[in-house]
Amino acid sequence: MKVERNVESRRDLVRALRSVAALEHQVMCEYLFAAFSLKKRIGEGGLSPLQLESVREWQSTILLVARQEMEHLGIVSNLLSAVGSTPYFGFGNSRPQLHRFSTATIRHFVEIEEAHDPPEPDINSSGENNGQGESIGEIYARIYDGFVDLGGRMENLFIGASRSQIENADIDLRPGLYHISLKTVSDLDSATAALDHILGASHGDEHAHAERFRQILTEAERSYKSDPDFEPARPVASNPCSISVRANREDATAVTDPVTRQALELFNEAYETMLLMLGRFYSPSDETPEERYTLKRIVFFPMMTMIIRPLGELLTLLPVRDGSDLTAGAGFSFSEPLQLHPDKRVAWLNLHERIRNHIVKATAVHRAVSDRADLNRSELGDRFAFLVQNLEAMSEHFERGMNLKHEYLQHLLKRAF
Amino acid sequence: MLRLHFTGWFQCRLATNPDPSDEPRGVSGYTFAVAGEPDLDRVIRFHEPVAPRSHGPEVGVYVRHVYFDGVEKADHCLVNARVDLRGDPKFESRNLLISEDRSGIGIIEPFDIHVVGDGVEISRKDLLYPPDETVPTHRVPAEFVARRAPSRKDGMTLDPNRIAEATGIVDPVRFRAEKAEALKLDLEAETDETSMAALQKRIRELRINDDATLRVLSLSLVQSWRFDLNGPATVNSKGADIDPVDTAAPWPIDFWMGGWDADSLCGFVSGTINIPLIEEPYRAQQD
Repeated sequence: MKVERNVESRRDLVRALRSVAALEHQVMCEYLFAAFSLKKRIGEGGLSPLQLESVREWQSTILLVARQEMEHLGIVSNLLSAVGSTPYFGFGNSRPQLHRFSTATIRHFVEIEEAHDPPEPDINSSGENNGQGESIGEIYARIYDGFVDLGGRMENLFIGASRSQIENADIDLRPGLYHISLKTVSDLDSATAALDHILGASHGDEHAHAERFRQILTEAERSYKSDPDFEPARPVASNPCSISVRANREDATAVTDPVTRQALELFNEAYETMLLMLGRFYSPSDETPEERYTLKRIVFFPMMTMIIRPLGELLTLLPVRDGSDLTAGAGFSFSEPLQLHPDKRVAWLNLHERIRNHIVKATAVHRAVSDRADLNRSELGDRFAFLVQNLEAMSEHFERGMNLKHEYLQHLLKRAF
Repeated sequence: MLRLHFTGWFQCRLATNPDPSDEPRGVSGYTFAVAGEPDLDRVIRFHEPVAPRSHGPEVGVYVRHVYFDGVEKADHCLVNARVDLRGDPKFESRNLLISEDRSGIGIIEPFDIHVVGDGVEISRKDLLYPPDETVPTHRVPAEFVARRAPSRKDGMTLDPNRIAEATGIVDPVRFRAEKAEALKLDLEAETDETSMAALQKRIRELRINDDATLRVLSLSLVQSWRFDLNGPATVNSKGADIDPVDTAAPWPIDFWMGGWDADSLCGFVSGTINIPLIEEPYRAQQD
């Protein structure tokens, strides 16, 4: 099915791919935010043991779908690299709408997934498209048609090197493990196969996402109806922001509690570090194999699993302001453009300094949490302590793997003499 | 040389990838703290399991065979001695942050082995960082961690025969299916909501029984370790007839862990501690 505004050049193709990259990234953040807001323990109230097991299944499902959106973002990054562009990890002109778990939130997620199917075009009598704006499904349709068209008439569409792409072997995952399947793109067949994977050969995968969310919605609605005390989510505020960021958003919740604000800033800064590392991993230049291994060793499982996710969950236990019942959540806020200096030495020093700063901030949050009687929960103290340790280990590996001790020694010697 | 061969089931209540190592209840991996159970704590327990699950193995690690200079001594006072790892040891990988082995298992830290038999108590700690044992695990230099790392760095070994011989679990898929049926019968008789929630979760997980899934595969996977115990040793042998132990020389230990039962959160361990004895002529001199 052809829609208007066809992809007619490499530039059009790259723009369309960057658009879907932004959209996939946004929805991933929305899913993660909602998943992080779900309760884990009976002691949090509002849940019976049986209901809590359902809530755990919902959290697991939403995180699975979020991982698959990460996979989609990875596939789109491979497609961008294949046609000679760089990956795009920004949000474009819009931002994710971050809301805690609720039936309204899940209904919105169903709509997002259903929008992966390109709708029938709303064409008026003059043959013009009446559409308000493109859905993600429409953009993917243009991209697909664009690859087929350009791939058929351009001899050199696929000019990017496969070393600038990621497949499962690169991140030590067997294909399909944790529902992640990444393959490199080098020609039209592999490009269309990648897009088919995102959309599903018969749109099966996206329907599976929509169907998963519909299932959660049905179960949640049933629980709310049968039990007036049912409350699966923590009182997480929508779009939590630090004060300076809030100035640009009317729909944001300002976080003024000093400890929470610091933890929120830590999340945003660590998330930005992760994106910078990912961008560098997708755009290698003259990295040695050890440097590339060091980046890989830090940015995937350690950064995502041991820093971002725990912080995102811990924020939902911290108050937005003094005396408020509302808690914070992951901010997913970062500065664009996401760019490291092209000189790898400068890039490594920059990244290492960022990790060191995360340690300082995490240590301060850990101390503050331990000192506050209202935050005196063993989970908070223990998990922030663990976070500090893991950031320290990360810093040490990065310093060693990128041979920065040598660099720092040289600077010291220069200053001494 | 005194060689102690030990085996048994251990418990370890830990989260699994892609959950973070400190995930308290389990969400995205294949291990969980079910309703009524305390949070996952990652501690490796050779005895006194916490919240042991029904239809699970009996947790307990013991010396099964004792060899003196290669000859088995069936009546040695250390046969059936209880073997413990003290100090709340944990698998420390933390998704490659502590140990680089891609199996994700990592090192066991602290490693302080304690053997208590009939009138005999032997223990020895292994120091991860001998220059300063107060340095926390995450700050220990990589070369010291590497000494304690698993033998196989690129993953675990699929060894169903070894597991079958040690545990009697010959068919993991059938093992899990039979357990699910047993739990289903328990559920039909259960009326407590917390217990019902726990059983339902366990049954749901056991019914994920594709032999390519980690839940099933882990029952046939093995990881092994080999290093020399280097820390302070203690030997108390009041009234027992054992030869003088050389507490200064390193004590080689090698063991494997595997047969991981994701439902009962238990695995099997089998290993050998090699304890050098003080040489006869030297002993004669000391006398």
